[in-house]
Amino acid sequence: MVLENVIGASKVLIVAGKGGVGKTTVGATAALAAARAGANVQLIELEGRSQLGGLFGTGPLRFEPTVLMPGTPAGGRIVGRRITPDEALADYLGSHGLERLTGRLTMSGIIDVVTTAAVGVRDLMALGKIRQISDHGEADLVVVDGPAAGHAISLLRTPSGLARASIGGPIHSQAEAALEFLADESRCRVQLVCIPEATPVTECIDTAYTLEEEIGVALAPVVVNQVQPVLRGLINAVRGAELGPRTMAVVQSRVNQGRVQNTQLERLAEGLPLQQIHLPKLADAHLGTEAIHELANSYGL
Amino acid sequence: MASRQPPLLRSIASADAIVLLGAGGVGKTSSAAAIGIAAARQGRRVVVLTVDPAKRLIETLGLASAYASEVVAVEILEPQSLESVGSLHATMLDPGHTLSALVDEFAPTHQRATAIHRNRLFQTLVQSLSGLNEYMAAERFRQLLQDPRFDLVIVDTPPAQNGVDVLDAPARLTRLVDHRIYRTLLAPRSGILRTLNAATQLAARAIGKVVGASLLSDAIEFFALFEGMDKGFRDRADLVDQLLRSPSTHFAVVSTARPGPLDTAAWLSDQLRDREIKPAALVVNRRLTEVPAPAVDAHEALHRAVMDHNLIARSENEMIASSPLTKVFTAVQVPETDHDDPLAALAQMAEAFTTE
Repeated sequence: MVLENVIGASKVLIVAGKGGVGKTTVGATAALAAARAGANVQLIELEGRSQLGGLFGTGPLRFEPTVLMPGTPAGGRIVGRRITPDEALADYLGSHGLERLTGRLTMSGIIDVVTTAAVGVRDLMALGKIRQISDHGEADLVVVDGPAAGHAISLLRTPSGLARASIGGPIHSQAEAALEFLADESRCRVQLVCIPEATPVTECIDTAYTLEEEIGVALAPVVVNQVQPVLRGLINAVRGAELGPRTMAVVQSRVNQGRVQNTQLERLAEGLPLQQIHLPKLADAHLGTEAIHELANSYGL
Repeated sequence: MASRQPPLLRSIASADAIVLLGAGGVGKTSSAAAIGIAAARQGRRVVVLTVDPAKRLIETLGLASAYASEVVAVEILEPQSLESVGSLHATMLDPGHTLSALVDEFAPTHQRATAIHRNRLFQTLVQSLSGLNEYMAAERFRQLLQDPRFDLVIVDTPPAQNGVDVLDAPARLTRLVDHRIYRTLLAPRSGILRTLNAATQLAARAIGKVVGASLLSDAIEFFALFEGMDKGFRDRADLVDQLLRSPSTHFAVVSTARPGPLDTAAWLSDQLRDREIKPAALVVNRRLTEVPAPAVDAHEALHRAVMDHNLIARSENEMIASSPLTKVFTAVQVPETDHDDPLAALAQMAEAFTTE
């Protein structure tokens, strides 16, 4: 498969999905696929609470970039960093000549007052930092392990909220720039992740429309994670099979899962005119670099 | 040190509140409802406060047609021979509604309340910019705890970090209200910067340059509107903080046997420990058990289905056994449910909280 068909053609990919669908894993897989294709990738976690560092065996990420994968044969690499909204705000103030003041109580007090009232300011700064990393060419591709779906929508809504709330001034122009960035499909796309079950698919479709219509951000192909292979002949084999009750329950549940999976994949296709990419459900619960490689293989990359 | 009874049993019998924390998608809301059912079966009058439930659970709990912040009764499936039956109610957090109600409660006049509702920053705040949910979840928790209809409040927090933010929200609000700058900013009645001292003026100008003077003055107006209400807000935040930290508020960490959620669970229990809170239990949802393989001559697809299941079950068992968490806590293992009916599934989950 061509990389563009997997992640879309943009410089920033924000990976979003409901908790538990494997958003972090999918983000890491996209980063690895791009690095294998020779891209210099920055993988960013926003909440300071994802397992990106653990996936690559480096431990928790910090604001300063950490090398997660030093070099692929094609010349790509992955560095990871954590950008929490507080760190982004401090970075912004620092780069605007306020570092001399940042230590002062008075200064931090006013920042507290402003950012507590205008809660979105910190989130806006995080988006701004991501934009800056990409626009300044620090990476060919920035992959953002976004917050869980509901929070992702409020994060991406922040620029329009703040653009309305502040007339003029740097926050206003930051918000406008963020809106422009989000609306430009050559710069930014959101990759939604779901699993083939009813509720996640419903929420994925809803989120997709909210993102496109309300925020105007372009969507990359949707990733369906934890897809189980179809076991041919299973339904017929169950009939008349002599199995203990517990084994029967397991087999029956696999049959049901297969049905649910088919129905939900069809529903997703009908509800969302986006290309679907399927990642297999891995048997091993331990996730690590090996698992990410296995998943990237299934992209054919 | 495995205790005789499931570790949450004591909380279910005697706590005033049980707060659940955990990664997204691990079944926090289902656990809250299941614990609620277990408690109601023991005669407690339970209300479950849910913050961000999955659609299916909204329907199961009968919240689909509830208006903002409404508390609804949940029908629970009862075993036949039950002597005392309590009750189970559920409610969903509506942050905007809760905030508006707070403003109305503390505003000295109707005009002031209207002015606050009209302030641009206030409107932005209500239109769910991130951050508001946590403050309001804490306040709603207080309301329910003091509601005479209930004697046990079960709180299902937002995922991971945001769950901890609920704990910190009241203290953060108190800190802000107490802040010297906030007081200074509130003082001037004519011209925003005129009466500030030199150092503060310098800082305020610098901030104004960065965030924009209009946003700064909006923020100042925002806080000025709250003048005189700060004591009410502050006392309330103090109260909520006390209630959250009271020994009769118990905490449990919820996870599945997958690496991501377990990692988050470990981090959350560290966060609780930093706040001198000892979780009452670790709840592990969707536990699988290995099953016997089919006869050798059975169809290949049957073998494959059982093998897939057993591989995952084994790998998750190892995961749980090697987790540092299970060395510290007795885990409540909640089996994966095989019910199609969501209420029956919750009732089945509830068994795990009442029997060993």
